[in-house]
Amino acid sequence: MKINELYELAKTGDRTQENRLFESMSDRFLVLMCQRVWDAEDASEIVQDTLVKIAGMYKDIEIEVSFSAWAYKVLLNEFRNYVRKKKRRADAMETRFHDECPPKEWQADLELEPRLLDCIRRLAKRNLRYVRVLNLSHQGYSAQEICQKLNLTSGNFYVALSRARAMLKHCLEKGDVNL
Amino acid sequence: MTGCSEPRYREMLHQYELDLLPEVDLVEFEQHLLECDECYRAVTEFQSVARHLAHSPDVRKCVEDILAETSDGTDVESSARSGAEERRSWRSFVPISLAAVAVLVFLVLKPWEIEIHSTMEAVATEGRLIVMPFENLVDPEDSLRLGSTISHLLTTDLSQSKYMNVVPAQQLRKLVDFVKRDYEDSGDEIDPSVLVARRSRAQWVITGAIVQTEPVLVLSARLSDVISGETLASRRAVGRTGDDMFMVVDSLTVEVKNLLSLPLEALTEMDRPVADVTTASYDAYRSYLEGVEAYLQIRYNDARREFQQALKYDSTYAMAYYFLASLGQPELIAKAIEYSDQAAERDRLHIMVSKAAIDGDDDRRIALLREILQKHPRDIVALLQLANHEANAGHTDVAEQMLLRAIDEDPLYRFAFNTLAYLYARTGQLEEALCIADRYISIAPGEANPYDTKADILLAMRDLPSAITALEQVVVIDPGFAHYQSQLKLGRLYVFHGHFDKANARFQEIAAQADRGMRSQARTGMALIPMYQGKFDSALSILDDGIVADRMELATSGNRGDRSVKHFVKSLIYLEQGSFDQSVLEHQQAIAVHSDVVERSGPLFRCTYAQVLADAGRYGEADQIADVLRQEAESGQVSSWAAHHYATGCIELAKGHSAAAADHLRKACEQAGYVDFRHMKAKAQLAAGMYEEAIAEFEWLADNPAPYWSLVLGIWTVKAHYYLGRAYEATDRIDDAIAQYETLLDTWKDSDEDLAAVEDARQRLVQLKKQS
Repeated sequence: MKINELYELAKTGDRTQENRLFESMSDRFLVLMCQRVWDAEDASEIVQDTLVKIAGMYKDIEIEVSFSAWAYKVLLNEFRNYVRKKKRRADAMETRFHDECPPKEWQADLELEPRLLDCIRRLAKRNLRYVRVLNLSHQGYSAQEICQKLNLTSGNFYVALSRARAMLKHCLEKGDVNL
Repeated sequence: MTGCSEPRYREMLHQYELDLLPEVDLVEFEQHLLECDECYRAVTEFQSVARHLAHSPDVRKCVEDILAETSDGTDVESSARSGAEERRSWRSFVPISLAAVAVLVFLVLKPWEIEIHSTMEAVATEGRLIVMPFENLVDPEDSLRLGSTISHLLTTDLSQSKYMNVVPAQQLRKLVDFVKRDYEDSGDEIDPSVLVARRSRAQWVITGAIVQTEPVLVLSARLSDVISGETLASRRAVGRTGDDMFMVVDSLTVEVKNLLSLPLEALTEMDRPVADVTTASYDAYRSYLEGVEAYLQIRYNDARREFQQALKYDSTYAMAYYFLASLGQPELIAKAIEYSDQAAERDRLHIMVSKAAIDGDDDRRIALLREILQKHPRDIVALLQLANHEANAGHTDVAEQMLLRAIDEDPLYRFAFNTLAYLYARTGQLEEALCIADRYISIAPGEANPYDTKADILLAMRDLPSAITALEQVVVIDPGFAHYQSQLKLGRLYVFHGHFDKANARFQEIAAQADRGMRSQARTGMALIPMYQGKFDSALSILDDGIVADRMELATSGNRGDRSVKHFVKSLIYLEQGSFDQSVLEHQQAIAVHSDVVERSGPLFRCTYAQVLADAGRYGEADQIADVLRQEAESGQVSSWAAHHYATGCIELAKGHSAAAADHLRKACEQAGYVDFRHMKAKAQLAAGMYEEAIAEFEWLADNPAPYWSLVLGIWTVKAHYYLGRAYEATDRIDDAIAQYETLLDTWKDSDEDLAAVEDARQRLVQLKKQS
């Protein structure tokens, strides 16, 4: 069931539906935060703080657009607070805050990574452009900049990425980049 | 990939995973993830991989090593590396705002009172500007559509400058409709005009209002930054007594251009009054705009009517003549040329392109299109036409680039999506073609053509069930689309899938509604339904009725309709029934529809005729045909080689020389991979004991039915299961053999009695089931 539907049921006071609502939000929020924030514990903390806030407000607040949109805004605010705190800490320590760089204790998935590296090498033989895109993205270029550098239109860019993703996925599942 | 129904989000997926989305899109995508199970599932399944791709040091090293091995030293990444670390900063979620470069306060008094209410001046170097429809404060309903008219005029006037990059008015209209639809569905808080401006990738937006219409026209306009929403300046133009709308728009154009700090050269550009490049008649202009709108929506009858109305108000309106010339009155291009000095420069060039096309002067047409692109690199019509030219010349990469440029310029340009989808399909890039078709659907979900395009691509991918779904959508939206071609395709696919009642319903509708040619094809379809089920007598009867009806309906039209195919199908049926003489006669009739003398008919007609003769035991006549085909091939008619080998292969097979037959038919297939060629090759291989080869071939045929021809050859298509069963049996694949016999018997469960293949399959099945 969708979050907005669960919300409608939860606000009637049904505890079971409320639990389902918060479980659903927790799962989805965690995925979003794990994408934005390196540290899994920090990501989890942001999500927990968000859910606590939502729990305290959602029954009383007047939702104008949709519940999920409002809940997302609460999450985003919590994330911004986290970033501000981290930056202040980094400034205080006179170090450069670099949220995108992996922490020194980057934990590779030892089962996945070798296969992934192999698939990237195989993919490079078919689609070197994708490897170039990866390289530029590692260096911090935006999508628009990458398109300019590689002389791609946004249409090309999307097609190149989606095809490569499909090939990578296929390679990881079946051992072959050929779809 | 995700099965999300929104192509926009499917596009964002991997960019999201690689951390490449700008903040605005990231927010949008994250919100979507909260609601879309498909995208959520795709992200979670791939999340670990994505994290490694984006951030693993080993992946980074691997990527660098690969590029180092392949780089020739001029790789763009190597120059990008210096200072790269500085570029990486955490994602900003504050909207980017343009830097204001100067603070300027001035007040200009002109005959039209121009008042300036803000003090910022914007830089317009590569900026793109969009002019939104003006609000009509005097008549909120805007019953005379003054608001959109003024917006169009202002856009046209501003577009005269080569220093301006203005979103074309037609594109604005599409964007407004598109965003309105999205906005109503999403319940978003954002002002739809902002969404329109963002979608157009404009940097600035002009919004305005009609403040007063009597006694003089008063317009106000505001220039704003699209991303930040900040108002940069506003203007108010007050006309003098007697000034018309065109004159007031002229003055507003000057003031807008002043706001944008164009290069000095722009000041010396010729700026013709907008009435001189359109029309001086409001009514003519209004009708013209309605006509263009109808034209873009492919409502050609309405478009024709509006352009004709425009000419009644202004008989010198060049662009009205131009459009009418493309709507079935090519002689009017002369009028467009005559009055072309009253059109904008770009329009004048398009008029000349149209004239060259009508005159059949392709070289001149292409030269003019190139000239348009040189002067107006964003002209999407020129890009599309040139792309078609390049594709036809085999320069598919160039064509692709042009189409992608056109789409970049106008993300709602339907014709470009359609053309690109077919271009990808033709070059075997079927995944890409499908992707483009889905994007086309997303921008025009209420139109039939995108679904029809998608169906064609799915057919090329041999995904028949999905093609059926797409065609069903076409028929729902527009049953008569493409002169009922889509219904015909759908009917045929239904037959393959055993939905015989549905197939019949489609053919009946076509036979009742469509034109003569299509009715003929529908009558063939109706006969193919019982034929596919092995009900040959019924099929013959329907074919005979169809042939009579064709003769009556098509006699005066000179159109052959589908008569040849009907005779050909009758020939196949008689062959199956063992009525060889009748089979030969029908085949002669099939050829006679196209050619009064068999010997002058095409090689593909003659080679199948040779096959029928050979099956009838008339080897001498068959050999003669095969020999003539060989002579033709040796004298340079290359296409006759395939036909010669096919004819010879079938003759050898009829004589029982299966190995020789298999060899000839293999050669025929090397030249041309037609479904019937491959079928006969497989049959010969089976007879020659080449079981694995036969299995491979029949399996390929089962997995790759040609949507039309496999149905015409429906008897063979179904019998292939029988032959495949025999091949499996010979190689001891008992379960597979059982499955094939069961399929045959199920498909022909209501067939005519005494079909040899059915009887044999039944007996074999009994034996095999005893064994297993």
